Amino acid sequence: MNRRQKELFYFFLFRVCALTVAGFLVILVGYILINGIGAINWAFLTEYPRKNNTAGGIFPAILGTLYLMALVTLIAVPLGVFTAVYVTEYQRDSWWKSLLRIVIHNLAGVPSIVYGLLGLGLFVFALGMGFGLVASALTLSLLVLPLIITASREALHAVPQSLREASFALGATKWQTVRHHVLPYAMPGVLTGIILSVSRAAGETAPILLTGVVYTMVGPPRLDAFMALPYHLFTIATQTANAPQQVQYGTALVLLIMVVGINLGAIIMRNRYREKYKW
Amino acid sequence: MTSRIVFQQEMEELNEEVTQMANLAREAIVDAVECIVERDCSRRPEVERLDREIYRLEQVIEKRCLDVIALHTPVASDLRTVSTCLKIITDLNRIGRYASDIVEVYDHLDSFSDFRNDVNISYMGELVVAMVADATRSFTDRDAELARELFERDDEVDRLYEVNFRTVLTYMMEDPRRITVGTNWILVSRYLERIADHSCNIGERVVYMVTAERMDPKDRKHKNGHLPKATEAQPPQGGYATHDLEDK
Amino acid sequence: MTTKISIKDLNVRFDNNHALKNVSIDIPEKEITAIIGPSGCGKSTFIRCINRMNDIIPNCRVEGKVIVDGKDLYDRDMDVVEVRRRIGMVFQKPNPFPKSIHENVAFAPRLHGMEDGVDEKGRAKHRKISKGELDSLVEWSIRRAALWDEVQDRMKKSAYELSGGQQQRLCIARALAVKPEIVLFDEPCSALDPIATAKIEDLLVDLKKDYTVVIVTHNMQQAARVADRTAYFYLGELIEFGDTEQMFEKPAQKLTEQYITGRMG
Repeated sequence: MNRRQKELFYFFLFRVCALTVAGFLVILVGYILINGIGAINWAFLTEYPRKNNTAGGIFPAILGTLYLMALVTLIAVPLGVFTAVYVTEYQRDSWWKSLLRIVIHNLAGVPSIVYGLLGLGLFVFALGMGFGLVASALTLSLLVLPLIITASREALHAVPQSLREASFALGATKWQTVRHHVLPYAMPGVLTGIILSVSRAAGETAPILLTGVVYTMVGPPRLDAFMALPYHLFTIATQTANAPQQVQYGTALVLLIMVVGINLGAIIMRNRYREKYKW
Repeated sequence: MTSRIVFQQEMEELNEEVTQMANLAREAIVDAVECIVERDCSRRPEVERLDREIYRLEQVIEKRCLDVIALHTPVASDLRTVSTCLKIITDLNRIGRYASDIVEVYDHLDSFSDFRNDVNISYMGELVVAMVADATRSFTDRDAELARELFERDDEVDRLYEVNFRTVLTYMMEDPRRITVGTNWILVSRYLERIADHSCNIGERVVYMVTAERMDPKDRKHKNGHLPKATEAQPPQGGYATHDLEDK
Repeated sequence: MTTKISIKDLNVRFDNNHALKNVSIDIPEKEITAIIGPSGCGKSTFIRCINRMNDIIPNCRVEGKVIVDGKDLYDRDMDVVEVRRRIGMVFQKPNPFPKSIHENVAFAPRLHGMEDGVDEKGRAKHRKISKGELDSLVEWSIRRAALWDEVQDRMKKSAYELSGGQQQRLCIARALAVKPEIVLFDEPCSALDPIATAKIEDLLVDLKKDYTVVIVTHNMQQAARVADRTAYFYLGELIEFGDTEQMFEKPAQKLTEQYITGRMG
């Protein structure tokens, strides 16, 4: 085979791989879309489930997921971002820094069920919070903390040192520099990290399984009992007799749209910020 | 650093050309004095040729100096060297011109032999030739001491000029027929005295080139037998040197 | 000639690298002092000691005294923020904030506020600066940096739309806005074209009427054109410090002569 033929061959090969991957994605989304779109209507989205989750709507699950996302944001974001700020801007000892980096990376690799168990043992029992929204939100926060910290650190590292020097040279303190210059500049990256983390948290089942999610409710989510979309999908697909297939796919579709929607939002916001700060 | 190699070459060529010009000037004055003293002007066309060559060299060297300044921005010792070259080529050109003027006078000099005995042209000529030679050497050797010594010798030449002037004046007053010849002798004396002055100028510039000190013109004529001296730069104290601000 | 900055036995070490060795120098007030020397000789390190910017670098140890108006800047009681307000700095590559032109200059005065008398320790007190005062201060600074004519009708536009030379003058305006007494320039023209460089050199000569200026430059002709005094550094040591004219006509030290005539690497 001569050079040109080889070139064509590899090009073809890579293209096939890419198309395969894209194909799977299309099939996944398409399959869910086709099978689930029929179930989507206003009633489905706003009513409470009836008849053992086989009829009615998934309103409490949607609301529960939203509540969780809000709580996780409130807990994990300040914790994560400020940790990242401390490590990047304030910490001088590089030995300590490397250790922290290793710890955080490893935490990101811990399986979510293990987080669930940790949540159960620590929040539910040891700290006595009991099952419910708070324990679940805390557990999920622990799960996404490494992601937020890493994304924020990357974004902060990307801020050019000349910017900080300019600010210092004018007599600004470290905090003033971080607040007025470094964080705003790093904001796109930090925000992207936050949004991706939160959307990840929205889709996790195992941690909430062990810390407070319930099978069904007839009222809105409470502190000690709530529903969530991922768990709901799991139960109606495997544990509920006679759950109509369309309802299952509908639930999956709603979850998918939520997560994809949030990610798309992150991409759009990132692009807009990039335009604003281009050199 | 390629530009500095070119610069070094330029400086070397500049030095060579100025040395060459100085040698030509010295040759010219040697021949001119010989012509007058020995009454043998066979080398006259040679002197004239030398004069033209000296003039041409002045133009060439001036251009080279300006090119170096524009393109290489010399500083410190290099700058002093270039500015010295720029100035002494004027003096050297004048020396060549005076040499040529001296041989021109030859035709008007007649046979009043008693003139020749009293008028110290040959001694004066010797002194002046030596001064030109030493001025040249002080430049090529960068010898500031030698340059400074020129000033005392210039005083001697000035004295000789005064003596010649009065002697010839007396002769002319005695006999009006001698006026033409006499005037021409005075002219020759004058030319020699001017050449000595130009040699001193060269010496002054060489002192500046080597020591960066400018000699006070008033110090050029020595008083009470002291040789005029420029002040030396202060030696560095304590690891680095400071210069005090002069009144601005 | 009064001394504004008196530096005694300054030593700077980065881990095992002894970057500045026993530097002592007196920098005169309201004059331009140039610092020249080959790459790596410690000029930037030296100038960054004056406004304590080296504090930001980890593993940097500074010993010695930097005395301004009778007070040692490295004294334990010294407020580094106040030091940096009184001593401004302009960097090699123009680094305006990614904000509007107006905001670039307004940032620091808004942070520090206006001077409002002294407290019981004799230190200056500050009050919040009003919008009107801020706007006029911004205008004053930009005018002083010879930039007003070019930007007066686009103050709200991004600083990144300016050319390199304009950005650098904006950085100068930004430094002047906090009313420093001393302004340090670390190779301010090395990223600029000759015309922009000439404008900044003219500005420097104008600035010395009111400020003490210290400029690091690797361009010797610039030092010769602009500076009243010049200091030559080599391998972390101060070799010679004197009148610029004198140094460029007849330097006292052989090392200096070698450097300025280009006969050293």
